[in-house]
Amino acid sequence: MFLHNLKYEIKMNLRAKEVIIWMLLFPCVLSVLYKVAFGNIYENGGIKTVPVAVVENRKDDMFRIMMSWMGESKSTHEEEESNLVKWLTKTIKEKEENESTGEEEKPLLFHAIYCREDEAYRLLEDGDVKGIIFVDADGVPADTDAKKDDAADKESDEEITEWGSEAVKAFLDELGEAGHADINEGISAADYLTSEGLTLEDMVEFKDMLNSSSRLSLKIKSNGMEQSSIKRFLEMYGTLIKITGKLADGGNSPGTKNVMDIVVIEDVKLTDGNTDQFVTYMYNMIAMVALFGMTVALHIALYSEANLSDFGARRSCSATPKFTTIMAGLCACCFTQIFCVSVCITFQALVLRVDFGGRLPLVYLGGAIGAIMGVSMGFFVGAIGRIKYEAKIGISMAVVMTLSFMSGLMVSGIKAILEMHAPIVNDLNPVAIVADSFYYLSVDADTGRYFGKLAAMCIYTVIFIALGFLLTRRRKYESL
Amino acid sequence: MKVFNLFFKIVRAKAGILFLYIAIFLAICFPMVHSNKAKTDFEESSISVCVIDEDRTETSKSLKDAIAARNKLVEMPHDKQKIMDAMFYEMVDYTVVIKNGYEEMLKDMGDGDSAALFDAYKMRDSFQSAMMEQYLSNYIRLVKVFTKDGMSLKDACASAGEELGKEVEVEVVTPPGSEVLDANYTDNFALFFRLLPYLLIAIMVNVLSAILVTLNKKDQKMRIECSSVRMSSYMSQIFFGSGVLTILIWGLFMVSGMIVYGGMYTGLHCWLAVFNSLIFALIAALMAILISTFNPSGTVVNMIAQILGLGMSFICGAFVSQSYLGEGVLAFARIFPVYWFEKANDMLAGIQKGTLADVRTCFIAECGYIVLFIVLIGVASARRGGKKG
Repeated sequence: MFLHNLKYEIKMNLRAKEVIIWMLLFPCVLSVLYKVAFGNIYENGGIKTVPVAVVENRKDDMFRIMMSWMGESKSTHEEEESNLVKWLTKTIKEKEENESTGEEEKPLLFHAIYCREDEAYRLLEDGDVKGIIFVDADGVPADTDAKKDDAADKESDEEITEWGSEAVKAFLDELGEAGHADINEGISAADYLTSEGLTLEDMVEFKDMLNSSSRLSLKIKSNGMEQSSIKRFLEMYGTLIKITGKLADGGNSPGTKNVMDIVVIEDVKLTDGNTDQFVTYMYNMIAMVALFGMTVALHIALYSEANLSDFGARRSCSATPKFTTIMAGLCACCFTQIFCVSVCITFQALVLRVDFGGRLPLVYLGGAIGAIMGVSMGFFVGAIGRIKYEAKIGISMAVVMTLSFMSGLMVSGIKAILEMHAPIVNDLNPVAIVADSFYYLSVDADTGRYFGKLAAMCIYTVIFIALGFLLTRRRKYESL
Repeated sequence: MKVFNLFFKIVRAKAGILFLYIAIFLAICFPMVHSNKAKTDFEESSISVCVIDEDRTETSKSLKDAIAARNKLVEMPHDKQKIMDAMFYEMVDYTVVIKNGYEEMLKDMGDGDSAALFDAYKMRDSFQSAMMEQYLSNYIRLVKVFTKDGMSLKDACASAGEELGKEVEVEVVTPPGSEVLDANYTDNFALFFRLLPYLLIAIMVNVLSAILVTLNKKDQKMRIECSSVRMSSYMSQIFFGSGVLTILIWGLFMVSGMIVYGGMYTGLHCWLAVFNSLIFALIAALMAILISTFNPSGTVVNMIAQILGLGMSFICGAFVSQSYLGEGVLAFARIFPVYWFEKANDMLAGIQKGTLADVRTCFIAECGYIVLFIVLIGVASARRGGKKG
């Protein structure tokens, strides 16, 4: 009798064509929309080039070199660059090109636009730049000039060349190169730079560049991470100038000139899996479809209770035990829902090419158990009270969508906020449990945490089915 | 007014769903809107850094304090999986482990020696991680430079921290000649209005469509047709009921908005945002009426509500600001009314560039959708009437 009921329950589910079509169409269409809307947000490792205007009330070649290293620059007016600036810019670009061949390109952090003040304000107002960097005189130019003259009097040409060479080397080192290859191969910095065509005047110019520090300030229109990034960069630049200057000053004292070569940080990779945060939207989508099992299974209790539907009244009079009828209904709903979830996973994996890691069969398993959990929840909700079927559908939908929202279906950061302030919510949220199982499969090398989430789904399933049976068992009716 | 009363009798049955959505929306919106301060002063977006101090010496503590002075320190156990989760969901931007023996290594580090003093856990490249790497490198370089200058390690660490703590002057400005931003309508509060389209579509379709579908049921329809109520009176009462319900739903949201806002709305931009939401409420209502003309079942109505609400909200920038969406996506989004609603809202909040004239253009575009939906409803109703005949 169970198999007979099962067959007709499955037929009944599949004949509700509009529900099945929506259950299949809805996630597929939404997945495409997600892919279109968010597919490019996390490209480039999440780094977005920040446009910034630069107003030079005083010319600072060092700052220009630094900006060109951090990204791309353009100027609204032509300016003649010195031999040294051209050489430094060229050397840095060549080094970058050598390092990036074959590998992914270094992301551009800033797009600098050198312009006049009024033009900068216009760009800021139009939203074309996130901030305006003002390069002003530090207020101590005379003092600096006096120092320079004094130093020039005392230092010999050799000393200036040595000082300048070390400073150039320190500067290049600071820009992420562990020393220029030729310099590290035993040739002195001075000899190398001379062989590159740099003259004594260039060394003096570099010394001037370091000594004549500028006062940098930032003007923004509104707060944000991009604006803060500009500020951090300016502070980092200030420190760089300070260190480079100090190292160059102490160039002849052993040790300090090698400070720049210190490697202090060892990178530890956390995972070989997919670290693209966009994929969590897809995980949550599958989890939502799995939980839609609630709406599919609402009718099970409705069709088995004599006081809820005519169909239930007829079934109550039949010889088939209620347990058999309900179990057949549950199995049929599980079959239907697993089919819908599997189609959703297949569509995402094969058509949209979502990276689930290398363990797709386990993704299907997680989706299937999630679907069974959804069905069990629907069975439970269907068994509660005498609320109308349509109202129960509405409530179920609202509950699933809220749980999906809290799991990050609409705003990915919400899960992190909950994890910080109320982690128990994420631990209990069924949508988050299903989505987390996919996430663990993707990033973890082992499957310990994944199976932990599967266990949680199974516990939920057992609890809801037990509660559903408790609410539907042993009901007697005086009259129907 | 029998039909009108019947209409609201059915509304009462759907009120639970309506209040459920509003309660959930408020519960979600309130903390999100109040999570940040106003925008009039510069407030640095801090980098969340997790520092795991395995050395536990005065020197390592000094570094931890220096990092904490400029960044948001997140305490976490040295558990790789927990760190990975926190970094994946961007609760932590950068994790650094100060290795055991850090102080000794720093003291013993000779001329030109290299030593890995820190382990840095990496998830993906980001500006924050690049800045922190630079910070740590510069910190150690400064310590080495200062110790070479004769300072003690303790003083060198303190000086390095101090040096790296120097901040660049930042000013929040209103560019000369630009339209003055309305401080009463902050980008935080704009979030409330930004999320409204999803809610309005979901509620209108779930409530209004469901009511109209109920009234359009075969038995119901036949009973009304053979009653003494004239068809024109029936239609006008339904239309009137739909209008009143729309205004009621919109009004409920506006009152909820006042709770989130903390009182009566103030300022032109705020009221323009309210007006913008009124136009969109009408669009959502007309959308719901159009859907009801196809007589979908209860489950399908829910599905349509979700696919329209979620789909348009994602494409048009309700959940994620339009500035994050690609040019192609935004070009496609222009065909949806939510795009114009969000664009106007962003401009009013100062998130997007634009003048009040541009905001007015968005309003006109939204009104265009009202006309379009009225025409579509007319066509759909005529076709259905034709088929029946």
